[in-house]
Amino acid sequence: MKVHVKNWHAIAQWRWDTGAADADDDGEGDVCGICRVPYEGCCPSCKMPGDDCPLIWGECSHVFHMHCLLQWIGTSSSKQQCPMDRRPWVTAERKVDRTNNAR
Amino acid sequence: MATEALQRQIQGKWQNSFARLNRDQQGITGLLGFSESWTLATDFLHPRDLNDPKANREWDMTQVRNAVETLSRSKMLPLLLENFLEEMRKQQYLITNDVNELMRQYENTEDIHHIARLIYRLLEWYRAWVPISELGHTILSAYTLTFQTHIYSTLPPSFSRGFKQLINATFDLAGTRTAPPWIPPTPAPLQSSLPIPRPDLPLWSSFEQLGMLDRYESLISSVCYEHIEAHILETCTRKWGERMLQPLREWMTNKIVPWMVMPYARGARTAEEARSMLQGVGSRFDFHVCKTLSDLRTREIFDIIIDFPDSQPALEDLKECLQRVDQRSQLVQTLRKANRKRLLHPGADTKDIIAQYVSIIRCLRLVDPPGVLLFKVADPIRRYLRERPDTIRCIVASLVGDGESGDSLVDENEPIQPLQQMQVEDYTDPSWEPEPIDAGPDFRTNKPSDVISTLVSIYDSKDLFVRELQVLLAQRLLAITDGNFDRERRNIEILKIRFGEAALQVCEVMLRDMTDSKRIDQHVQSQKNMILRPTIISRHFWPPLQAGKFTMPGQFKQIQDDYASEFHLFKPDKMLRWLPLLGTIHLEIELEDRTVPADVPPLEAAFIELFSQRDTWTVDELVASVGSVDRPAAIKALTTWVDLGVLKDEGGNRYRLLEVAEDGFSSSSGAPRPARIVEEVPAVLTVEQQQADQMKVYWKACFIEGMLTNLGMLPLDRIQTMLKFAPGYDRTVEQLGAFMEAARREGLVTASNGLWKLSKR
Amino acid sequence: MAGLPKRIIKETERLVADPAPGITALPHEDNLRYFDVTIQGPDGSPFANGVFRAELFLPEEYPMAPPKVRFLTKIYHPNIDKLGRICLDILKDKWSPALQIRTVLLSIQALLSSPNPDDPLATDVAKHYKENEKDAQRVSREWTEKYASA
Repeated sequence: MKVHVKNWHAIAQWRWDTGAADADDDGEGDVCGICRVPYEGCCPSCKMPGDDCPLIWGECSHVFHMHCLLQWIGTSSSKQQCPMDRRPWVTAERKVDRTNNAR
Repeated sequence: MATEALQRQIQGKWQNSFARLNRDQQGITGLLGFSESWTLATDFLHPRDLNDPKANREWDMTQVRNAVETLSRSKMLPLLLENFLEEMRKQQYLITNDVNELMRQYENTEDIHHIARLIYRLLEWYRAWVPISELGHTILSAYTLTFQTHIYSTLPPSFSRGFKQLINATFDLAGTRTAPPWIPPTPAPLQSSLPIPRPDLPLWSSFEQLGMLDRYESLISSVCYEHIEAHILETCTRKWGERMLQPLREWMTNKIVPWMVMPYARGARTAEEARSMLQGVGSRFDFHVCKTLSDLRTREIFDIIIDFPDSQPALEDLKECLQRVDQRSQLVQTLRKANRKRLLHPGADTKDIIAQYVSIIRCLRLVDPPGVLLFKVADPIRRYLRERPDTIRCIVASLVGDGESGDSLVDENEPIQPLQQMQVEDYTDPSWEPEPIDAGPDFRTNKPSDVISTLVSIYDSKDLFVRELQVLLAQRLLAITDGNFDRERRNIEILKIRFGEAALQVCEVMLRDMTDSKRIDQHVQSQKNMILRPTIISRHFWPPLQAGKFTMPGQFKQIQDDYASEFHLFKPDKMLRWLPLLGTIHLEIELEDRTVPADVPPLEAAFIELFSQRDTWTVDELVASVGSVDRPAAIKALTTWVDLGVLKDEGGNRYRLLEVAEDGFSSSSGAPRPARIVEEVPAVLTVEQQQADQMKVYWKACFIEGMLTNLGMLPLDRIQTMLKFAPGYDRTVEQLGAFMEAARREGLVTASNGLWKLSKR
Repeated sequence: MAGLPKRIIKETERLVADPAPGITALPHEDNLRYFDVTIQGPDGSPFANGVFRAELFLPEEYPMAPPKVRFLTKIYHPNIDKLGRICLDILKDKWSPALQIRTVLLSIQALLSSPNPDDPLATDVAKHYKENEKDAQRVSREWTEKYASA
């Protein structure tokens, strides 16, 4: 017996590749430490999630909605520090082929 | 003992009498003349027996007149009258005999012609005994009164019935020229001035002479009322497709008004006079027409509404009738009762209830534009619909033109408009009018709102609708395989107008996911041709989907992984996570003797893939191979293949692949039927399912418990306010109250003075 | 609740559903950025058994700016002045949007356990604490009994 797949309509969700193991798959997922909205949601100033409301990665490994972080960095009281660890914020370069290499 | 004075007095009196009777004639000649006249007059006046031919003798009328003259001069007419009435009383039995005889015949036959004969016979008696006019008016009225008193005391109760039948027959007579045989020709002196001789005229004249028109006045009009009612019932019942009120009024003019001339305007000399005599009674009859028609339409109202819009003319009639007669509260009562009996019961489909409610809205708006009737009728329906779990889904389905019956609730011609809020009255509006007099204190005008706004306003918040809408949209979008969702996009655009952009933002994201999926797929396909075409959705923006975790085996896993890595190349920041229970796979199962095509859900595909590794599997082995799948789902998937003749249930949870078809599924029996197995497994959890345990969740997640632990005692409305912070909480304070009451019965909480607190445990 | 950021709604939700031990915070119905707060004095501190009322207000910029918190119950504490103002770094220059109402209130509760007379707001109280801690704690206890007993 042979099973031939002619075509396949599937449903998938996209996730940000935050590098974190997504153990709680069906839960809310991780939230942005600033707006408390899940990463795959969108920040308070956006209406569309995903590419329109991207994430930003810090070298300190903390991840935020980009818009949230930029707004925080823009305030004088931020002193350009990461909200989570108060280390100076340095945006990480994303390794485009990280996952590919990992595989 | 007689004194002299007394004797003188008696003598004076006697002389007086003598002088009067003798009329100052010589000797006693006057007295003798008087005696003759008295005899003659009493003889003449004697009520004779019509049945005795001898009694009918010829009189010399000159002598009679002279005699009367003599008696008059002697001032003896009162005595004559007294004597005459006494004689009448003695002869009355003659009339009584006739009445009894004719009534007996009528009662035996129910034939009104006996009643007619009776009338004429009575008239004969009346005429035979009537005193001549020279005797003056007083004696005539006294005679008539005595005569009538006697006959009315003689007529049996059944006479009323017969008389009614006779009157009823006159409706037909009024329109004809030839009289039936039981009506005698009109006597010359009674010929009326009317241009057309009417066969019923003698009857009416007889009635009048016998005083029956006065005595039976209400009976005559009730005959007319009943006649009108019968006609309306006959011509208008269930006839809703045309206006009936105008034809009825024409019928009144052509049939009833001519008839009315007899009982109500016989004496009229000119048409003008007749008109004014008929005015009052005519208006009463017109009122009765309206009342009867409005009663009829009120009784029929539920079915009229079902028939709408075909029944619109009937509603227009009703509207006009209601302006004339005040039957509005009857209409409300009747419709409410009918709704309760025929609509608001467990056997009725929600969508039918909604459809009828929409018709009711349209119909009652027509009958009563201010909406008071609608408000009163709608209230129980709205309360009932609120209790039904699938009401919102039905309304939403119709919102997006998904009505199963094909007709949408939304009138194509109705302009789409934002939802109307029930507004406070705007007194600056120049077209403002005070509320109708029967509007209750809770009546709210909702002037121009469309049907959808009215339906949505059944609920306090439109959020529920938006959520249901989201579920419905998700179901439809996920079922789309050809990438065409123009219809859904258009619907959302329309709904944005109603619900506002912000409320439908989530739907916007869903639609954008569809577009993005298409774009991503185009890119992926351009890199590498794939048979997999996924819909990639944004979590948090879709309603909860059927969750389940299992791993597709073999080539399916490979296909998924290939696609996922192409995706990751295209979108390096993102990953794909498959929702394994959802979607459809089109397969061809190539077996030794046949090829079986099938459209199946993923679990079915996963299982059959495993059978390509070996021929026989137990359910447990299969489940263990794919991960966590519940047993009923697994059995169902296997049954699909058994039904297709690909697998065989060997018993004992064991299934075997049929490389060669068994009887009944032979490949030689023609081309295999392409199986379409994809069931309507709801991919999306309904709002109802989502809500099912919501209240318990609110308790368990210690919303309520935590609140009461923290704050001690709280009144219900405070708890409600706090719960509103919880995501998706949309219960009413009444529902919360019911829940708290249930919790109290379970011993979780106690209540006193309207304050709730946790029970000490 | 229109216009209220999701984050505030979520925080309120959690405060109500899962309150921190010894702390309550209830938003006003007419102004959801304004909270009535109670903090129980920590066991083992001079403020034990006291319930201290405070008010908390979330400014428009929140969470980019810290909440404003003030004690309403009189308290004898070197870092809290007569007007109830609180000297706490995270309410000022050490604010971070990663902090929440809950963490702020817990920090204030912790401040009651460990007064810091070296960074005083109420200088006379701080002086008292520095010079004779035992006596100062006695006054704190007296005040607690006098003003903060439930």
